[in-house]
Amino acid sequence: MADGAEAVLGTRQIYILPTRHGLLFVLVLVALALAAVNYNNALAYLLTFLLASMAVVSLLHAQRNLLKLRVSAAGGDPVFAGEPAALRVCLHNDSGARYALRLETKQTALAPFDVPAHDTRCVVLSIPTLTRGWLACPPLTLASVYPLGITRAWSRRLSMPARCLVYPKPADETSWQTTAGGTGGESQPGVLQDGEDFTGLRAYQAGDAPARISWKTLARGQGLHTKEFRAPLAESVWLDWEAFAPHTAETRLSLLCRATLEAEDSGLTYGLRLPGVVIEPDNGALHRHRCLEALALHEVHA
Amino acid sequence: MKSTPEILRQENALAERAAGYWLLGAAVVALLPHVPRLPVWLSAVLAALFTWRFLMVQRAWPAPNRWWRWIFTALLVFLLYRQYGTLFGRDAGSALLASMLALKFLELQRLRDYVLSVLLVYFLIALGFLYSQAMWLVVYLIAVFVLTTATLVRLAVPGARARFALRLAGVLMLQALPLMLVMHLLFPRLQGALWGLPHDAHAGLTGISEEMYPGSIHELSLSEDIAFRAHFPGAVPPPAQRYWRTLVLWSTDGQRWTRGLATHARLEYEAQGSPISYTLTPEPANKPWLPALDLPAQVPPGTRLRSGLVLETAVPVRGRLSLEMSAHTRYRMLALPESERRAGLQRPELISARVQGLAAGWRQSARSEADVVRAALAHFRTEKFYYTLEPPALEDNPVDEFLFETRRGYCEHFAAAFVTLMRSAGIPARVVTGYQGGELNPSGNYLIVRQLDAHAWAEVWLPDQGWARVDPTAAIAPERIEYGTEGIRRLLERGAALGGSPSEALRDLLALGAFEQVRQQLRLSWDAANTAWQRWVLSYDQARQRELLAQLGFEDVHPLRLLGLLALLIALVMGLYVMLTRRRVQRPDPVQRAYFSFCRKLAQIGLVRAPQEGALTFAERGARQLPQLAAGIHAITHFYLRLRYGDHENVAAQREFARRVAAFRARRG
Repeated sequence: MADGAEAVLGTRQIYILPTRHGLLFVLVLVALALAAVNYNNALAYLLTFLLASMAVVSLLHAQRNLLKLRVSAAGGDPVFAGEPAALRVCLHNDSGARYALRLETKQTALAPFDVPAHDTRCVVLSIPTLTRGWLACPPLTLASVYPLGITRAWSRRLSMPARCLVYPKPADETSWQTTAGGTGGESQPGVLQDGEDFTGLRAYQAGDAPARISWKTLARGQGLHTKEFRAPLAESVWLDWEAFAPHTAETRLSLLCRATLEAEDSGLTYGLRLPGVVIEPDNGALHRHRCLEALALHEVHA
Repeated sequence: MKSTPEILRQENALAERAAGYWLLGAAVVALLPHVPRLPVWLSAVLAALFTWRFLMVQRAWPAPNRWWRWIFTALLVFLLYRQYGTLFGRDAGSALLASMLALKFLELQRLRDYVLSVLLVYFLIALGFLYSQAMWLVVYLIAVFVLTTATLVRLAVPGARARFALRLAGVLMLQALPLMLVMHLLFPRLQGALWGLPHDAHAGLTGISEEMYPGSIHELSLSEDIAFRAHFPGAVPPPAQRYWRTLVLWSTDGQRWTRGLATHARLEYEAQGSPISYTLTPEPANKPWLPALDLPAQVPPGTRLRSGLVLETAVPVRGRLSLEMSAHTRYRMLALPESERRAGLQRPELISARVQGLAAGWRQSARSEADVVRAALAHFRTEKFYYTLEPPALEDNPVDEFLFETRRGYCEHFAAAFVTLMRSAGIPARVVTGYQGGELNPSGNYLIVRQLDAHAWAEVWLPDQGWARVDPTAAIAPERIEYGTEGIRRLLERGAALGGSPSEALRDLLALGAFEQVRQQLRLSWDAANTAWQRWVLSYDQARQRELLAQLGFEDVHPLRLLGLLALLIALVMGLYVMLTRRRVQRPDPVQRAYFSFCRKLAQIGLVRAPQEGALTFAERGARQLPQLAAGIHAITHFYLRLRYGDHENVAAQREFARRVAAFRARRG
C-alpha cells in the first residue's frame, strides 16, 4: 500500500481531558487554595498557583507528545478464520522523542511504549477473527497520559486502510472425514481424480501423507506401502463447489478450504472451481494462496 | 475494569517498581521541616512506619492486614487527639496528615493510591509554609517539589529514568513559573480568613510591649530581629527625625508605666510643611500597635487613632501587612484636653521627697516651662549621668535610685525619670515608647528598623507648642541618635566617652574593618532581597494588588473581570509556549522518503528492515527471501545508493527514483 495508508496527527486530531487522577489533583488544588485563603499565606497561594500552572503547562506537553506523529498500518500474513490476525502498526517520529504511547482499539489496549527521536516503532495488534474475507484494521486510537498522569491526550479514531485476508476456517477432522467418505476412498466427492495415473507402490517412508497410504495392501497384511502417482498437468484433481452440493455455502467453502490444504499437503496438482471462478490446476505456495483467497473472497448469492 | 487480586498485584508491582523509593523519599524530605515541631513520640512512630514501608519495597516485607491497619489508624488518631485536643488547625492538622500519609504507605495497592499519596506530599509542603516563609525553606521545598513531581512523572511514564523524570519535572516547574507569577499578581485576593483561625496560628513573636519598666526596652537591645521596614519614595528623613512613635504611656505607679488613657482620638494639630509619605511593612508581632513616623498626617484604612496620636490596627498584626502612611515632623498643637492634662500631671504614689524637691527647685528659678526642661537636661549632663548598655538593677523606687544613686541607665530610665520630674514641676508630661533610628539600605532606599532600635523618650506640654518631644537620652548621648544602638555598642566597646567627643574621633572609632564591611554589605543585600520578597510575595494582598493594577491603568477592577484578564494572560503565555515549542518536523529528503516507502512496501509482505540494517545488507537478505523480487530490489537499492552517496543534486534522477519506487510492486510469489 502506498503513502495514502498513513495518518498524521495534527492539532485537530488530538483531544485532551483530565483523567481520574486529574480530578483528584483538582480536588487537592481546591483544598490547598482554601488553606491559603484561610491562613492568608502567600507561599501556600504560590504553591497552589504553581501546581495549577503546572497542570496547564502539562496540557501543552501532552498535546506535543502526539503532535505530528505519523501512523501507518499494514496487514500481516493471511490467517484462517478463528485464528488471531496480526496487524502491524508503525509510528514514525520525525521529531523529538515521544513517551508512554498507548495504542488502543475498542476492544484492546497495548502496553505503553516510547518512540525515540527520529525513529519508528512498530507494534503488532492481534485481532481475533470470526469470519472469512477481508479483515479491516479497526479504528485506532493513540493515547497517552504523559507527562503527569493527570491528563489523557488521545487522537481521533484513525481509520487505516490496512487489511488482513482471512481464509475460511478449514472443516474440522470429523466433518471432513464423513464428507470425504472415510479413509482410503480413492474417489472422494469433490475431489475428482480426473486423469490421475496410478503408477505403483513403494515402501512407506516417514513423512508420507496418510492419504497416500495403500490401505488395501495393509489390510492384506503385506505391510505399509505408499501409492505413487504420476500426475501430468493435464491430469489433475479438481476441487469443485458443486461436489459439496448438499451443504450450506459456508460449509462448502470450509470443506473446500480443507480440501485445498489436504491436496497441497499431498503434493497433488489441483484446481478449484467456484461459481464464476476457475483456477487451473497447479500447486505450490502461491497457488494454494490463490485458491484460499478465492475461497475467502467468494461472494455467496442467496 | 475489574480489579481482581491478580490485576491489583500487577498494578502494585508496576507502580512500586516505578516509584516505590521515590514516593518514600519525597514524603520523608517533605516531612523533615515538620519534625522539630512534632511530638517526639509521633516522630518515632512515623520513622517506624516509613522504615516498614522501606522494608516492604526492599525486602518485600508483608503489609499489615486490614484489621491491623484499622487498629493503627484508630490508635494514632486517638493519640493525636490526646496530644492536641483537636484534629483540626495547623499543628494537629499537619500531624494528622503526616500520620495518614505514613499509614497510607502500608496499603498502597492501586496506581490511584500512589497518586493520592504524591498529592498528599504536595499538601505537606504547603503546610510547611504555614510555619515559616523564610527564603531558605522555600529553596529547600522547591527541591522537594521537583522530587515530588518527578515521582508523578515516573508513575505516568513507565520505565522513565531518574534523570529523565527529574529533568521533566524541572522543565514543567520552570515553564509553570511565568504562569504562576501571572496568577499570583492577578488572582483576586480576599481580605480576611474564611473561617476562624485556630489559636495556634501565631505564637512566640516579640515586639514592644504594652508596659514599660526599668529593663523592658533594654531586653530588646540584643535582638537583631526586624521590627519593620519603611520605604520612602522620596528623601529618607535624617537620623534625628527618625522617631517612630508606637505607644503613649500616661499612667504610672512609680515603677511601671502603662497606657492608662487609651481613648480614641482625632487627628487635630497644625502641621507645617508637606507630609512625608512612606510604606510601612511591619513584621508580625501579634500586637495591634503600629510604629509610625512622628505624627501621622492621615489615618490609613484598617487602622485607628488612639490618644497621643498613635496608630493601631483593628486586629493584631499577624500576617504580612503593608501600609501606605504619611507623616508630619513639624507641627503645633493648640489646646490641651482636660483628660490629657489630668493624666499628664498624675504623680505616682511612690515618689520620694528628693525627687519632688529637685523639681520644685527648678520650677522656682524658671521663668517658663521650657526653662524647666532645659534645667532638667542640664542636670543630666552636668551631674555625671551615664548612658549605658548595662544598666545596674534598681530596687523599690527606681526613679529615686536612678536620679540620686546609680546615675547610669538605658533610655527607659532617663525617660521615666524625666517625666516624673516634669510632672512634679507641674508640667504635663508623658512617656512615649517606640523605635528610634533605623539602618538605611542603599540598595532599596528603605530603612530597616530592628528590635534593638527600641527606644523610650518623653513628651511635655509647652503652651506655645503643644506636646513637644524631649529625648533625655539625646542630651546625654547624642551618639545614640546619630549612630543608633549598634553604633553606641561599638563605641562603648572601643572605650569612647559619650557626649562630648569630637565627631571625627567617633567616626574613626566607628570605622569598620574590611571584613566587617563585607559582612555588612552582604547583610544589607540579603535584606534587600528579603524585603523585595516580603513586599512582592509575602505581603502581597488586596491593597497591593489594587495599587499594582492602578499603576497598570486598571482602576477598580471587578474580581470577575480580573479573572477574565487572568485567563487572557494565561492564554497569551500558552500561545507563546506553543510557538516556542513547535514540533520541528524533519522529514527525510525526497530520495530517502521514497526509499522508506519502498521499505514499507516490502514490510507489508513480511520483509522488515531492521533499524540498524544497511541498505545493501537488507537488499541481499530481501533477494534471498523473495527471489522473485530480487531484480527489482537490487535495482532500486543501487539507484538509491547512487543518489545518496554520489549524485546529490540531480533532481531529475530523484524524480525518476521516486517513480520507480512507486512502480515497484511487492508481491509474494
